[in-house]
Amino acid sequence: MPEWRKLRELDVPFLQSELRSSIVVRLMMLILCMSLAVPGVGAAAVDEKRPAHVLIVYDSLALGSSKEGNIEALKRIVAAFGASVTVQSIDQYASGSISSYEYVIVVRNREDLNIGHTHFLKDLSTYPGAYLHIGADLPQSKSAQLGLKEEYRARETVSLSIGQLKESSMKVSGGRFITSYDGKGYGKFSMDGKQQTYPYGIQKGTTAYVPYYERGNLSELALGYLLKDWLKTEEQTQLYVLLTEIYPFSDLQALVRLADSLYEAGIPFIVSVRPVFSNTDYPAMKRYLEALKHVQSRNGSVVVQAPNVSATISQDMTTLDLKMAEFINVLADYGIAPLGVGAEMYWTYDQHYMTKGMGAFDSSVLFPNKEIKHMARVDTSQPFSSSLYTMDMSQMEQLEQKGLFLNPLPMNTALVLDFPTDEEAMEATIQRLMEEWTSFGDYKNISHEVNTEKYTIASRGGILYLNGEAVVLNAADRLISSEYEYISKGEKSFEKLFTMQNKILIVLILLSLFIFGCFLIIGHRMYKRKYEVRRRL
Amino acid sequence: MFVRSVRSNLLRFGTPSVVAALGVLIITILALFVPPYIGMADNGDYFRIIYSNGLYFSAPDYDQQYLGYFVKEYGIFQYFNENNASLFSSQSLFIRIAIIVNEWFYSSTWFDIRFQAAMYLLLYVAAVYLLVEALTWKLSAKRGYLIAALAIFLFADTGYTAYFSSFFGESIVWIMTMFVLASGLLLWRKRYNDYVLLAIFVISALILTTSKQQNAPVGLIVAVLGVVLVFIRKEKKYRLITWTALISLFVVGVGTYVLIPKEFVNINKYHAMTRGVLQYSEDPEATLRGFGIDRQYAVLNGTIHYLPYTTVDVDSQLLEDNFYSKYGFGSILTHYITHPDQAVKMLNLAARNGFTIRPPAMGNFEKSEGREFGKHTTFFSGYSLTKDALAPKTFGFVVIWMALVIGFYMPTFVQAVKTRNARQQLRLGLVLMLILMGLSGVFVSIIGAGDADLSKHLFHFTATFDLVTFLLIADLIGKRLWGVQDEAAV
Repeated sequence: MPEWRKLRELDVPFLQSELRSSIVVRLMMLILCMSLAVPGVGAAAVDEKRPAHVLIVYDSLALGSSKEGNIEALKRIVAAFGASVTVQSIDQYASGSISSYEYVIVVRNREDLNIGHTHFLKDLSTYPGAYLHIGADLPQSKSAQLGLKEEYRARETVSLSIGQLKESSMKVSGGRFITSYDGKGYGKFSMDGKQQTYPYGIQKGTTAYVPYYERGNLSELALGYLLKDWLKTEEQTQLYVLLTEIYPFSDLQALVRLADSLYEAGIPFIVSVRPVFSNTDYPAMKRYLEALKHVQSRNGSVVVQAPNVSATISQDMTTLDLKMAEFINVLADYGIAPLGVGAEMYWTYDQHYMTKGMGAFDSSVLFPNKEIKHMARVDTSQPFSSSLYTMDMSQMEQLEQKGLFLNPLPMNTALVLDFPTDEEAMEATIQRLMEEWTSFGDYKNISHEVNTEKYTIASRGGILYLNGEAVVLNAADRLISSEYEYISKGEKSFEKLFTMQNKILIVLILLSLFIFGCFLIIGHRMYKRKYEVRRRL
Repeated sequence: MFVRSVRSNLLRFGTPSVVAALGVLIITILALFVPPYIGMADNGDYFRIIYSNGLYFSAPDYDQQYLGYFVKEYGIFQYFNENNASLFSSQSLFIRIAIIVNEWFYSSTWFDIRFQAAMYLLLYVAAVYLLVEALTWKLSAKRGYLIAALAIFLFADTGYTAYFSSFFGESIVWIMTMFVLASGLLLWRKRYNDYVLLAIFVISALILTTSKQQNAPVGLIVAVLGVVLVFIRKEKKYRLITWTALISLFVVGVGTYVLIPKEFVNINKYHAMTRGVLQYSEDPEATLRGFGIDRQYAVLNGTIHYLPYTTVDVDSQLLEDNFYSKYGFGSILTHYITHPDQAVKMLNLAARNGFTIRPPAMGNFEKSEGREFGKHTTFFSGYSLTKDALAPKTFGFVVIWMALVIGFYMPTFVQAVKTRNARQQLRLGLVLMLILMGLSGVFVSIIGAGDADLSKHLFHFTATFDLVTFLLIADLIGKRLWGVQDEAAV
């Protein structure tokens, strides 16, 4: 007998517990299925996971040394795990505040700085949460916990390998190398002509230690492997291809061609497009939109690149949210579904940019900072439900790679390529991607949501939605007419009257000129005659 | 007896030029050195000039005061200054001298902009003195004091003097233009030593040319129209010195243009296209094609790079390769010549902004005064406010004004040519020089940066307009327009 019948025959209070639980499970599954079918409802409930709150405390930014920029790099890589990050220098640390964080990372860039007397170390000694130490001066208690023994080398050329990746000839100065430890080791350092290897980082329980961390070499990326375990994230990750520097005045035909080539090769990709805030009704803009729509139909996902901040002194700074919403609406009106926002990392540490510029998006792609122009700087970043770590593809290609194809890195990572500006570079880029064996992910397979007053844009399970309706991906291009009235003629009143008046005036002027001419001739003749008469006399 | 002696002493020492200079001095002291101090807010340009000269923004809330409030105190770099001179400008010279004076009398760590204002004011008073002296020398007391009163009304206006308490190059432009005119007129009237006056003329023209990039043509204009100066004396020594000076001016003019930093050119070049050529084009795509630029750049039509958020960075390689490299000063000029309708529209737009002495964007008061953001002073602003309100703001008016002025000065010039009196020809040369300087300001602004920031770019036009108009009225009052040039050199 089917179970639903059994259910009808039995009084509810006497329902058997197994049966009851089975029904509950089914009902829950049904609700789940229904909610998944409606984008924006179920996913939010399922994905609702509190982001980890990480405190990064550093002694120095190490400006002018090889370690300069490692705090920035650390902030970016931790953000890629969906964590909310608070960054403070050890002097700024407020006594007692450590207890509000589940994870603490300490970066010691300068051994010569004495921090022994600070409140921070006192608070750290009783801190029960997870602890990651980067650089010099690991506290004694943590060292003992990790069973750590190290050796110091003033200057060394090493190779670092982790996962499938390896970088040789890295210059490490003032480096500590772990010779003995308890727990799990990550990556390995090796030196030319020596058998012995040393782990890049170690972790035991909730305590972890990385003695060497710099920006721009494999040590930057390698931290991700350790962070994934330390932050206890189990998310399946992917590698993505991301094309940047796409403007309305880029070579749009080349963009379409690139999209077609990647589509034929089965490579999904992301384009980070520059927003346009004015003249969005021009034919030039329509061509831009048409090209982006074509890209979208060719398995390309669109993210909106943050606008260029050209001046921070203007009083007109506050309209960013309206401008971004306007651009999103322009895209959506044309059937294009932007799924996230791409910005330099400092945007997430700025209250103004976060709320006004990125507020509409729940997904981000974070790029390294190029030129920081803060408006309202804050110490704590706001996490996104999905955040891509970015890395230049050329940088990745400089690393030695084991195996034909690259497995996903510990965090969702986008390999970045600038959109080529000339034909030759374009061919090279297409060729480069075609030859790639690595399997790249489709960005729209992750859940994203973008909200403006007019639109709710979402992607669920590879399908794009605009206000709940699935977007039809159509590659048929529309021809955009160049006819457009750039300068509005304005309404003309009394046109006939003025034309008539003009004509009358022209006639009058010509007439007076004629009369004036006549007078001139007559006068001249009279004068001449008088002169002649006088001469005769 | 006593009254008579006081009166005669007053008339002896209190000549119209002294009265005018003192009047300007006192009013400007009241404006700039007595609370509430008047100055000009930073529009974002200060950074370029002050950091390279060893100053920095010391106010913690400086960012919030941009455009709104005048800041009078800055920090002086105590250690190595890594900012290279990002701007080649004679203004740097004045800032550095002001810093040295500040360090002597005030502090070696803080710079008070009033030291710079005081230095400019002294120079300005000297310029006013020379100008009024040139126009009132040997004139009846009544007419002379009338001209002096007019000079005070015009030149003590805070629209002009507020610039002294700022790091804008306009202060130098204004003072040096006045020196050029004053020394030229004094040469015309054969007052003082010719060599000294020639030195003042050439040095002030040099400083003027190198004060701002857009003044590069000034050097060329002065060098060409100044050729008359060569013939006012016959000595070989004099002629050699004058030729050398004029040729150097020409070279400096060319040099100023060449030395313009790239970044500065980019912002202006961007606006020259987006706020100029494209703005009034009926078909921007076709216009772009005419320049060999991709038609897609039409989306930039009308955009201003001073806006906080833009599609593209003005210094991006993309624009460098596909946009800026396709046009220059020459091609834009050709475009306007072949599209006179657009040129007229731009000129009218310029005329609309060309009579504003004080740019509307920047405030005059310190934040501590508690005035509203961007508030302008009305203290002794009668002339600038009247001019802004009443001037007919079309380019047609400018043309009529030019025709009128040249017409007024032409008869004496023709007479001087007939009598082969080079010194007498000088006055129309000076008037033309000033008019052309002003016009070059208009053309350079439009061709070089479209209509972006026009009211500030057109300062030189408004300044020369005022000087020429003042000269004309003073000559009318002094009955020296067509009359016998007895006071002038013969």
